[in-house]
Amino acid sequence: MTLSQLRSSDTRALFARLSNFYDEDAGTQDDWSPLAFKAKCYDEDNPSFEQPMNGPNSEGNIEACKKECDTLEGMGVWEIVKREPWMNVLPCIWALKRKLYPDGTIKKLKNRLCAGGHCQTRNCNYHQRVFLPVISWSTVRLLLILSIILNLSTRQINFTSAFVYADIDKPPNFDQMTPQEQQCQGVFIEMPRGFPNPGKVLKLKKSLHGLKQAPKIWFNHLNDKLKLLGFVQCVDVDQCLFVSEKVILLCYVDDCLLYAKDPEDIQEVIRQLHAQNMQLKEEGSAEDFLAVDIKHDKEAGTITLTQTGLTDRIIKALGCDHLPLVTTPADTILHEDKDGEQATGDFNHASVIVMIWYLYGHSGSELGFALSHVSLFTHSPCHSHELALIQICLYLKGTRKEGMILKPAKFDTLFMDCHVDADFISVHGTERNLGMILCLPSPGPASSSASTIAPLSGLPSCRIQSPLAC
Amino acid sequence: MAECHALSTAMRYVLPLRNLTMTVAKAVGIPNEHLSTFKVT
Repeated sequence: MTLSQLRSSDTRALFARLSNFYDEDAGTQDDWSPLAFKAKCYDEDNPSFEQPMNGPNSEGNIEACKKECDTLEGMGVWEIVKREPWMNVLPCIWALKRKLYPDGTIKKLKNRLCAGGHCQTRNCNYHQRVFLPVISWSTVRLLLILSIILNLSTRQINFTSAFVYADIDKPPNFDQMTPQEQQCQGVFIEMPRGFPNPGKVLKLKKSLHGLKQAPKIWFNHLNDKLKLLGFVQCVDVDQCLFVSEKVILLCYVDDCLLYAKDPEDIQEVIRQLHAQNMQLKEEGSAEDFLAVDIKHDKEAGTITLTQTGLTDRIIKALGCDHLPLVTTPADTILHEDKDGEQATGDFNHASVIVMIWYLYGHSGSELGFALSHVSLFTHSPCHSHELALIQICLYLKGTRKEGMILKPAKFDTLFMDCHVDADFISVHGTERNLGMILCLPSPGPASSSASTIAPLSGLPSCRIQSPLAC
Repeated sequence: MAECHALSTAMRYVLPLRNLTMTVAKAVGIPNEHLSTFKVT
């Protein structure tokens, strides 16, 4: 097998590291070793357990591990029980994290204890659907627009170590079980590495990072707490939207945005959350939510959404710092290119596309056409598809500080205009007919989408009106 | 027929957004006793 035949650029890079088995003349890889995958996993800032525990910072790492164990034990996350043969014991994993100052010195050693969720089986270690709803970005944008129109106060909060506050889930028929059977239920994990206790395991009383059900259990826990504070979950609209009499709350796992007319109402909610033993960190007004920079210009009455951090990561991933800028994300229609040159770039094609999709969904709606075309060939990209991806990257490089600008005008009535054109983008030379729908809460965009609907030449449009008293 | 198809598809996105707008408007004290109106041209 030649290196160029390998589909993933990561895999190509991985094989290339095995110089002992790589025949440069023939361009072939005769053998490979599992050690290559271990080498791939190594990261100085996220090291494996052995290396830092025997390195120069071993004392600091041991101390960080002790601190994590003491914290979790103090919160009653587990109880130590005797190991029994019938127990399905999950592995216990240390996720080590090293945070650095800009000058390279160590800022913090953060060692987190995780359960080996990859060994869990349904109806044994978890009993419910594990999917966690997350907020739709259309909802966030709509709230941002309304916050300008209605001059709402905003506040961002983050729940610290959120998952470990929720009680571990129980099987649906737990109440019908005998006390002996109930005692056997639960999630068991090995003793943490570095803290041996022969013949003992940990029985989890609360959720722990790494468990499949941890995000869902946390969301249910948060939902219960918010209900106690008078919030109602808007299930029919957006499951992560909670509304009380005076405050609106949006949540994305452990990040929340709060909106209210009176900032004192938000403060009261935060006080009540503290009273419910929810540890949270206040992060000021909504300026950076889910890695999207939100700049509010009160004089101009605009909100600008930018993602310079993600844009820089995309540019770095593609390694096109030295290439000139372009003014458009696409200038050709892509084809399958069966006879074309094979992909040669040393980057992960699919990974970069996913990053650009995130950018498109939050602040770069103009990338939709170019991105959807490049995405068609993610499974087996050719060189021409790589060039198209690089063109998007060069366009982003020139517009990295630009983003989506929301500038709602103050009207007595809130309009939502929807312009529909099934043949909005006519793609000649392909068999696909694209449609584009734009929904514009007057006048900034809140939602846009492309779908495969039949081509037509007409332009049906509709206007939804609802009264708005500003 | 194609226009109906396009409008129908559009409604899949518009109606949830309208419901969301009305929910949020109600939460921030905007009166919504009047029904929303649709104007199709």
